[in-house]
Amino acid sequence: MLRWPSLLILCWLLAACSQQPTLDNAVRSDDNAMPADLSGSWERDYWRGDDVNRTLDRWFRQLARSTPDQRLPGYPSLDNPGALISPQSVALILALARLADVITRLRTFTISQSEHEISVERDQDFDMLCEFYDGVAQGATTDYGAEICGWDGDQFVSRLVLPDGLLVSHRFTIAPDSENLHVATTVSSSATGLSFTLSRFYTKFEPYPSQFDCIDTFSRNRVCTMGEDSR
Amino acid sequence: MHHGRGFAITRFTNICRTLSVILLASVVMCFSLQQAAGQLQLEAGVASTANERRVSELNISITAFEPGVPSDPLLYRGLQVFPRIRAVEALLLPFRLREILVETNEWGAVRVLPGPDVAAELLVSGAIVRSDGEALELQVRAIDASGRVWLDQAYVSAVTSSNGQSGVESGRSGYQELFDSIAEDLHMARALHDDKALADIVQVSSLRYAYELAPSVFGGYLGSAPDGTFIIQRLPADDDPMFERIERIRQVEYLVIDTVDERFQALNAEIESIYDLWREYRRQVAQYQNDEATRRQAARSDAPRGSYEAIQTLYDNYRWARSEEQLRESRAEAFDNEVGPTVMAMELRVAELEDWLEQQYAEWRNILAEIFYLETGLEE
Repeated sequence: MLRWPSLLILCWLLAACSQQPTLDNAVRSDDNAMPADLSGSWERDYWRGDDVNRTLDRWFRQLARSTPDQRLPGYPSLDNPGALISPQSVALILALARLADVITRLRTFTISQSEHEISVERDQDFDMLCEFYDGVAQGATTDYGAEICGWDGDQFVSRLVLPDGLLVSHRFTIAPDSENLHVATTVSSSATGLSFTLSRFYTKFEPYPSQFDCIDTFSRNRVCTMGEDSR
Repeated sequence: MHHGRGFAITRFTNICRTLSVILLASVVMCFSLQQAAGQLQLEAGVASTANERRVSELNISITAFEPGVPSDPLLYRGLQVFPRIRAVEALLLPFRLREILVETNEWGAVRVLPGPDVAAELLVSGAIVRSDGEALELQVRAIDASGRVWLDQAYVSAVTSSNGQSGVESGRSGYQELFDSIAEDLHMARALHDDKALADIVQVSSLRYAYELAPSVFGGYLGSAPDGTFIIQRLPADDDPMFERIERIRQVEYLVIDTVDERFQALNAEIESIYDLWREYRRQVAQYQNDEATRRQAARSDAPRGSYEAIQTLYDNYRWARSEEQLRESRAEAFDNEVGPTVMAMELRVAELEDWLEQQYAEWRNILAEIFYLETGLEE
């Protein structure tokens, strides 16, 4: 049985690892200026960022190290996470990690930012959208969940609230040079308090300029004409 | 002598004013007579003046519908209302109603106007409550010139093709039943009025129009009943020149509206086929959503709670819903791209018509006031 001090430490560890966004100040500052400009096309920097297996391994090691005296008889290995949490929790943390990995696999994405809107356009996934009207940040809502978004200082945070207490949050932090972007994606289960965070780094790139000017139409789909420079 | 010089200046000013008024009045009258003659040719088979039609054949003015777009952008996004497309519908749907009413051969001229015409013999206005491809809901109100409400009710139509099968159909046939119901209700409402009441409506309409142009001349012809409706206090003489002028001015206004109306119809034809595609697309999306919701309800994930399959299903459900929403928005944008230039042209022409009418009204009012002054010596 876990003692109270150990429980507190465990909770702190879980909270620290989860990097849950603070959305108390999801209301944008009054001067109508966005705290940071995230706009641009972003490409994954594979040299940096977390590897899901190593992160999982580190997570379990930290957990185990933090409370070595709580290992149960029959679990001699220091690295065995089963010493600390139930098999169900292990299965859940692995599931959270897997989902975080799948969600963050995208190679590139584009952020559009205007005075009233931030949109993160991703291939193979829905666009994250955050609208700012009357100083209030508003995300999308469907029958299957809702997005809560806003600025936490100069970090943009988008949190997806799903049924059964499942949360997926992304925290975007742009580097001072505006050429690098860090995205911390946390998948957590509020029912169990377990969460898993993966860090990804992206660098800004300029998409190759098209020689066509294209427009989407309803009856003729995409219609392109030669751009001004090509004529 | 001092008095004499001032008198001479005043007299000279009056002569100039008289000459200019006569000149302007002649232009207007001449123009109006020519145009009125032209109108009879244009509107062949459609009686437009009180003398040429049966008393039951009231002229109907239909105003552009209220698009029903909430002012809060977040709200209309949630309701899947696309403002530009609603603007198209607000202009298209009155024309559909107009076509149905004209085909009944029971009414006088049926016109679509950009704004309300308070003096219309019968004014029909509408608001789009719902239009999402699955169903169309309109709130329609008809009020006669005396201020009596003929109908004020909601009309709902589920969009089905004439043979009950899905597929691209003409927008007209898709809403046929709804507009037929409105036409039928107008017919029933008119049946409640005898010929005398209908003739009174025509006269009240003319007097209200006259009052709009020359309020001090025609202010005493109409009064108010206890229920707030207009009643005729007295009528102008048959050969009242001022009233005749105003009647002719009204014919000019009708002619302009009919000319613009023809342009609108040409633009509508351009938009209509694309709009039908859009409507069919919305209908399919709505059908797909219904099917999908039913399927999901019936086949919830059996995976153990907390397993990867279970949480993946939760995420995928949301991803599917948002992707569908985004697809709809991108299709709406594509629709907007395609019809945007035509809608802008329509809006521009509506604005031009409104400006033209506004200027003409001001000019006509001035001319009538001048004529009234010359004839009576009283200021308007």
